Amino acid sequence: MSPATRAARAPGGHGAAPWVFLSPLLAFAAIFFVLPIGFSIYLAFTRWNPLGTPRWVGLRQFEYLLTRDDQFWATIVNTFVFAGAFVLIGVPVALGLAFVFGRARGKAVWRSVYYLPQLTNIVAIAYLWQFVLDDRYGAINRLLGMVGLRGPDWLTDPAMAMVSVVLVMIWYEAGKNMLVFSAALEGVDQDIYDAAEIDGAGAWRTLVSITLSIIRPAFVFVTITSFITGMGFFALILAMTEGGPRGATEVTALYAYRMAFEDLRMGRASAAALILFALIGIIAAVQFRLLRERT
Amino acid sequence: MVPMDESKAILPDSWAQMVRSLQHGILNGSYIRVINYHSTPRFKLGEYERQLEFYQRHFSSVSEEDLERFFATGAWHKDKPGLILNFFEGYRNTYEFAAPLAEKYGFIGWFFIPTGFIDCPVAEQHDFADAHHLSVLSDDYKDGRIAMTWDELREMSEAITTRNDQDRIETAGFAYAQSSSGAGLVHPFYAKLFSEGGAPYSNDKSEALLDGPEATSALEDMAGLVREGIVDLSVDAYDFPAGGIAMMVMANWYESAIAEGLGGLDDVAVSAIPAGDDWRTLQYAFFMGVDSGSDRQEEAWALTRHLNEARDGEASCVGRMLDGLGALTASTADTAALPAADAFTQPFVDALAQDRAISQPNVMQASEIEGLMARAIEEVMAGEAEPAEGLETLDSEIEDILAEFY
Repeated sequence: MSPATRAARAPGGHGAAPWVFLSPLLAFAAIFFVLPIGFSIYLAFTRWNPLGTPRWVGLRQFEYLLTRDDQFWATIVNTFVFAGAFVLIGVPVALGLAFVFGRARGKAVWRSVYYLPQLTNIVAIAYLWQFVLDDRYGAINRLLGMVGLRGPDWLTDPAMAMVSVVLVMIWYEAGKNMLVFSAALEGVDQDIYDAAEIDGAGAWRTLVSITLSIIRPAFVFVTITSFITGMGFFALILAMTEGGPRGATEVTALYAYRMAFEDLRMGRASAAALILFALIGIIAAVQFRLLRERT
Repeated sequence: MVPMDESKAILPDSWAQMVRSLQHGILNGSYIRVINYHSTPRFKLGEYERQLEFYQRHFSSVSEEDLERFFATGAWHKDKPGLILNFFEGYRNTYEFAAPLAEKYGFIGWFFIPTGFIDCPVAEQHDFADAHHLSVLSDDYKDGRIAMTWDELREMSEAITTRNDQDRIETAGFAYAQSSSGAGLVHPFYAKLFSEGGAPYSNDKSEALLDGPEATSALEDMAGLVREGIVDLSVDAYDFPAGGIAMMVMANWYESAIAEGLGGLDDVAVSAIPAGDDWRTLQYAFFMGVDSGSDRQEEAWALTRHLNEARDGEASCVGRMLDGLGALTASTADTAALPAADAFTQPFVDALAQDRAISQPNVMQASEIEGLMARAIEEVMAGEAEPAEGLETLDSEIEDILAEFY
């Protein structure tokens, strides 16, 4: 490549100025992204109690997790259940909300209301929902008790605990995804809907063939980002159920967190995080490919 | 009994005040009758049955909630006057004869149990009764046991557990604490294990011993409480200060929280965990240390000494903090400077003095191991595994960890 071509392809064109302007971002990325990930990858091949120094053990941590740790595999299953339910239910809910509030009066107010959870600290949200969902004293079971119903064991039954964290996660993220869908829906030309109506298309046909097709990029974005969020999110579960009862809601990210900061097994935790990262990367790439077809 | 202003102490300040209160209460119909029973021997069974028949016709039973409402309102809310049946001393014949009769005729029995009597070995119970002026009245029992056992008390405590219309526990007879470390389950398990004569590890820590009969027996006891409906795993003993839980196994440092929540310790009794004549309990301590790799060791040690040294006849900062919680300090200087143990703390001090408090095992990866223990114990208690099977798997998992270090 000639120097002239190389210079022309440099960001912003010629000279050092573009790199100077990019340098804060590059420095931030290096310090808070590249270096920590690099260190984490290194740690995955070591055994390290933070009170000592890392000791190289090669692939032993991966071998332990993948062949001898039943609990790790149980958390992988929980992770897919959590992320899968979050995407399968949460994305349609967000789309539905975007539709409904797209035509409602005061839609700016509704959108703000639904976005409020995103502005609230996740631990505060977890404690609030613990109060609401408490078996004995929670608001929901007390209301159900007033009409003679027992109410489920929201946080103490293993199956219901997973349902509870999924529902709270959907509630937490609904506003954010709704905003993305709202923006996409507002980009759809009304003339297209008018033409469809003239051609005799019903509501369902209009939704599937026109609306979803046009907002497909937003749909792909929301689905993939929701999946990635669901696979790696654990703060809510840590604060709400601590992975219980009896590991029923323990996802891999939480398992790795505990391994690192409670069991002081930094090396094994890094290996677990790397395996999770690989899983998320592969599935996200497949999703992206499948969903982007025919775009 | 007289209605009380909630802001006043239960006990009157003087005889005159007591007489005035009684007059006021009697004249206004604001009183509840109380009948006290002590030893209830078999030969008086007929008489007790006649009494209970009469009570059932003319009086209503009194629960704790009824009593609180009466104190708050000054008015009795049931059709028939209230009657409290008190049973003192914890006699075996109370459990065998009086309690079933009370239940038959629909009366809540109020039992006042001196735990020292129940803890007393069978061979010494008559002497204990004589020394404490307890009337035995008859010689019903050839084996010499005149006090009820903890198991019998446990059986009666099932009645303490009340449920609401949705079958959810409102008052729990017994609860375990839920903590992220698992201590709420693991520590009572250790106490039971030690009482059975077991140990969690071999002396060199290379082997776990949780697949033995002692551990299985300890865990079966804990699981039995859930199976019999005395313990509900959804009830957290840390809610004890809010009321609604009758009994729990807890460390002494929770004293201040209990006193704050219940407005005092008048309604709280502390005793050793009822685990037979050879009962043992668990003790654990915190320590402060300085990292040997630190480049600020001198300053760190200076701070540690400042926090932990008693000065000018007063307890150290840490000592005062621990005393405020209700915890004990290992520093003899602090112990000398602090007030003597109160009624709440004395049983803990006694356990230490009698060498019945076994130290929590200091083993590598203790936090990880005890997390595994808590999970396994909870799975058995929830009915998801059998005690022996659960402990065998746990034992194997722990030995995998121990093998890394020992």
